[in-house]
Amino acid sequence: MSDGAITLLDPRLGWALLCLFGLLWVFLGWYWGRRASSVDDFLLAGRKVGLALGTATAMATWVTSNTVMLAPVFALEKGLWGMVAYSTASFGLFLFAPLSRRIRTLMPEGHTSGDFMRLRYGKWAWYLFLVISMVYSVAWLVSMGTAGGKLMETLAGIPYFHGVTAILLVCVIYTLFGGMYAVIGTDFIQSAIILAGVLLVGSLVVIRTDLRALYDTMAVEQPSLINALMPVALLSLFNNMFFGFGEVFHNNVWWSRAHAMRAEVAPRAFFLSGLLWFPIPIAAGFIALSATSLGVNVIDPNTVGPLVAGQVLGKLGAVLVFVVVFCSLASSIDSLLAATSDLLLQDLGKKILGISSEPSRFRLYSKFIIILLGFLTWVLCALEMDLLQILFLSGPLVASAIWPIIAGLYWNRAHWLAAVLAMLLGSALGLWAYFQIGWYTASLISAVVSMAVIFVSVPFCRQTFDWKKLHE
Amino acid sequence: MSNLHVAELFVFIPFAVMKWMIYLSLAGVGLGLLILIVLFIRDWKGGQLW
Repeated sequence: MSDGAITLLDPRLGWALLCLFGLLWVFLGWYWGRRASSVDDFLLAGRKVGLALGTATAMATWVTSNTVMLAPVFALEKGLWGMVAYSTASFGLFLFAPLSRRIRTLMPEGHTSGDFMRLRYGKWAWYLFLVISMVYSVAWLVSMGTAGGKLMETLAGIPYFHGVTAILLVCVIYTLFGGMYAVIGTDFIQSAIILAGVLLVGSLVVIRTDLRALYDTMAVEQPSLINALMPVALLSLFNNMFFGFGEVFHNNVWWSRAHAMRAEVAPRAFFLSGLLWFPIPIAAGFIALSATSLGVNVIDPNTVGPLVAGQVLGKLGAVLVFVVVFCSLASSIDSLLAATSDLLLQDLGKKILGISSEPSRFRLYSKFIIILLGFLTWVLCALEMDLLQILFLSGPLVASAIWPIIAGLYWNRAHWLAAVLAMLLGSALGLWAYFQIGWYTASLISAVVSMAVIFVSVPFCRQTFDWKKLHE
Repeated sequence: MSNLHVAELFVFIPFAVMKWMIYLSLAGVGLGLLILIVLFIRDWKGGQLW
């Protein structure tokens, strides 16, 4: 814990904010959750979500605690390119826009990304995909829980594990109450608070910081931060972009949103959410650049954003960052809990284990899985792993799924064996690159290997896939 | 201007680029908030929220 940070916010104020917003999310979850009368309502919010809520939920889900906490880390370690590198994750949302249109056309009654892999490529690709998706989803959940706990500790002196417990408890409770209705409804409020908070903090830091002096200090003390040719920063730019593609294309969080929105709304909502998301990492990240010129003692780089905001803006900055990160955490944790439980229930429970699909039981199972996922995350958060390590270790796995998904959606000659090999080889070589070269190359190498396997295999494939098989 | 200075012009990102990157990102965030509010009001009035 940073001693300087304890003084930023009184622990009682931290707990008060946590309780206030926690109760608000639980109330709104219960309020919107009353709309869910069927299993489809609970899992997919009735499949009629409009543009405003659709855009907000896609954007808020993608603004994770990692965006608010890691974008400053990128800026601190990789300078100006580092901020842009984090923003390239928005390209995943842009490119998912046309994919969502295709998904709704091919699978009008679909539920999960697993459904697609099973129907399109068969069981082996499906099993492998489920493993990749679950590893990533749990890694994402744990990275957010860890970030939340660290933030509570840094800003308000709330013990790490107490903070993690409170955040997870709130998210599990309101997701249990309202399913996807609660998730999408609260996402709108949370996205408005995140945007307003980032705008306010960023503007105040700009007003109170001499940017010219900041630039000159960097030029003398850390010139690499303004180096246009910094190799690691340039590699991380492309690596992050491909990681973003992999995260969005494969994960059921996005597929469930594509199925939840009205068919004509989904592509526009995803594109617009990408536009709204793009400037956030830069606006949230640049404040870390002033850490050196302000003489902020950064003990843990993961908390540099809140520390600088607190240093420049005092208690107001600390409160704003606290609220923004709590909203970022909640908007992503609730989405992951809902979408991952949906994937586990539909794919593992219904299709593999053959559990009953009788509506009342199905909803009960769904709630049980949400609690189980919350508990698993809580246990893993106790290990206090490094945020970057958690997040980027799963990068090569999800990047290997990019091309099997694109090819599967658009090419009727993409073969199941090619999809399996693409995911296996891409993951293996990506993980090798992660440990032997560096995290900033892992997703890039995985995506390239996966692409090569798919491209080489297509001319040799003589079978053509009948798209009607996706109408289950 | 020496060759070193010419090279530095290409190697280092100029101050103006950094400044406008920050300004435009903040403007983008503000515009995003405005767009969300306008869309919400439009969908709400048209009964298109859910």
